[in-house]
Amino acid sequence: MKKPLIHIGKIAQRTVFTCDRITYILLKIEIQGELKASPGQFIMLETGNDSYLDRPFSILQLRERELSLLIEVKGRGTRKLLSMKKGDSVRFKGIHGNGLGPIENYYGKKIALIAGGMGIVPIFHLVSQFNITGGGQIQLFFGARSRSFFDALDKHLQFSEVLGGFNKYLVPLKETGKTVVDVFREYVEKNGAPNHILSCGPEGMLKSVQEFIMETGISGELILERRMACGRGMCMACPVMILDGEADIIKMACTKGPVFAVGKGRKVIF
Amino acid sequence: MALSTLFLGKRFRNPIVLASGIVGYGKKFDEEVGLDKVGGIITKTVTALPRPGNPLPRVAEVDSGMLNSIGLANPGIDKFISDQLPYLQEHKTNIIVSIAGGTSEELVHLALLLDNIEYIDALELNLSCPNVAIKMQTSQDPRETFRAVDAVKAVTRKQLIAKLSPNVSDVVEVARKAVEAGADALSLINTLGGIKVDPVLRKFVLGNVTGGLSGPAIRPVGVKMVYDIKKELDIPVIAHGGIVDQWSALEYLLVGADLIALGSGLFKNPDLTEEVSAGLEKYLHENGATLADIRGELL
Ligand SMILES: Cc1cc2nc3c(=O)[nH]c(=O)nc-3n(C[C@H](O)[C@H](O)[C@H](O)COP(=O)(O)OP(=O)(O)OC[C@H]3O[C@@H](n4cnc5c(N)ncnc54)[C@H](O)[C@@H]3O)c2cc1C
Ligand SMILES: Cc1cc2nc3c(=O)[nH]c(=O)nc-3n(C[C@H](O)[C@H](O)[C@H](O)COP(=O)(O)O)c2cc1C
Ligand code: FES
Repeated sequence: MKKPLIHIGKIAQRTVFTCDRITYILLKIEIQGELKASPGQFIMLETGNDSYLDRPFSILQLRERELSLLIEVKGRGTRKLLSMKKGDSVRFKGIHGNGLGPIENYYGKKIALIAGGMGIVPIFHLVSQFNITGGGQIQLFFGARSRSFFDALDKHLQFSEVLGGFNKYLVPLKETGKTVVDVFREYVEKNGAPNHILSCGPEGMLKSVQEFIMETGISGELILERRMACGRGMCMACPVMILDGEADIIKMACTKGPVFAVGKGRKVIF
Repeated sequence: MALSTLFLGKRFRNPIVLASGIVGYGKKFDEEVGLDKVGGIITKTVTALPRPGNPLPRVAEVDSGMLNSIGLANPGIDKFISDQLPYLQEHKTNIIVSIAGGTSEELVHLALLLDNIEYIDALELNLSCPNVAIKMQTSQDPRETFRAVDAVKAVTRKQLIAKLSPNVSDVVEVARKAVEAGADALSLINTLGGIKVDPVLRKFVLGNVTGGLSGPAIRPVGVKMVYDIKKELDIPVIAHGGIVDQWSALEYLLVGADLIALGSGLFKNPDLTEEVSAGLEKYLHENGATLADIRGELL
């Protein structure tokens, strides 16, 4: 039997909030059947009957019969999601992408999680799976436009509670004038480098994180975004160029990503 | 059974084929749906040398369709033959290999390499690929079309399908030249040239600026071109453009399409193949008609 690709869910909760004049939608979708996903994996969401293409969204949380997404309203697809109401049915495809390895891989290592803006979504998924006591060695660096984003996540996602056991550095650009990578580098000067970095966020941020990984010779995983059409490795819309030693490799973000291992002579070409 | 179709002397399980560039080389589609559900597959266009493709972003949604500027990203003919093609051999579906080249010599080179591979049923010449050198697609020029088809026909034993561009003022003239040069069938339409602008960022949306429009937005253009050609020429046609259900497939069949190709509609709807084949069967049953009865009924 082939696995069904199309899933139908029902909106169990829909919260809309605005920070720094950007609108966000927190969607909780009641799903039928059982789905499993590791952090970094994503779904392709139908944004309405009249949308010709689905849109990719990372999984924020997946527990029992509930899938949560956090969506930034950007253009024609995400704007249509604003008109969805509690009880409406939604269709999505997935679970797609490679995702991170088993959570146990991260236990006992000195790990830095570096997130920028909406890059928090897969990181949140990861962090909410950790058993808190295992998290002692993990530092979270999270940058956003302003403090209001952290406050909103606190209010709607119980962010502080989920992250209770972690050492965290919240970096609001507006209030501190610093980027999350600045703060991460300051931390490293005082405390030394981690063994591994996991990062998701805007491309400029990922680029500087990768530079750090290359300078220090540690390992890392970057979660990348690409415009997608099929979401399942058929259309060639979403290539990521990787330099591995001397060789250029092209991988599709939707199937061989969105998580890409870097370090030890291997890097993403931005 | 009702959908079984004879095309270029081969038996097609149903009149549905997968358009070039939509399912790559078919492996993923086979896992999801099964290649045994379609009459044939047209593989992603392959060129002599590997092509990385165009700058990002390469896709954008527009009203009733999408733009793409993939840029014929492919691993090149050698890797295609060694790594991709063998997978298709194991499947009982018709295999049509799409090739493109900047010159007739390149097309001939490709055709010769593929000629000895027995399980390839036909070649599709993608004459609607962007030719950077002369800033024109081969099939926008009737003489170039003749030259390309003629050159390949001279060296191949395979059935030859010419894929035409809709970006022309008289598609029938181009089609006629392709037929005169020996094309055994035609495929149309490829995408229509288009641009999307982001007025907020005041930028072009696609990295390549221009792209190709596909989806329901182009269906009326496709139906007209198939109709115009079928009225004038006695040549089998694989119809492409905006097929998203059995009704859109029927539009093409009624104006004479021999096969219909599923394209970008498969991205959002992985069940499209089964929906179209079941929908067509139901339609024929309810109307007490055969495929042959309705094919070309409006010509
Ligand atoms: C693997 C993956 C996971 C993602 N996870 C999330 C998530 O958890 N939450 C979230 O809000 N967004 C996420 N995105 C981005 C999201 O897919 C886009 O913001 C969305 O598709 C925009 O749709 P739209 O129709 O509103 O925008 P469009 O009208 O299509 O475009 C508006 C603008 O959005 C940007 N955009 C469009 N598509 C993408 C894309 N695929 N990736 C990045 N930017 C894009 C472009 O800059 C464009 O100018 C993810 C993207 C990928 C590839
Ligand atoms: C992402 C994408 C890639 C494509 N790649 C090719 C290609 O490599 N060769 C080709 O002949 N046509 C290519 N096409 C065109 C399709 O085969 C088809 O002719 C066109 O999309 C119209 O059909 P549709 O409206 O059903 O999508 C591509 C189309 C899309 C959307
Ligand atoms: S979105 Fe089609 S290959 Fe990745």
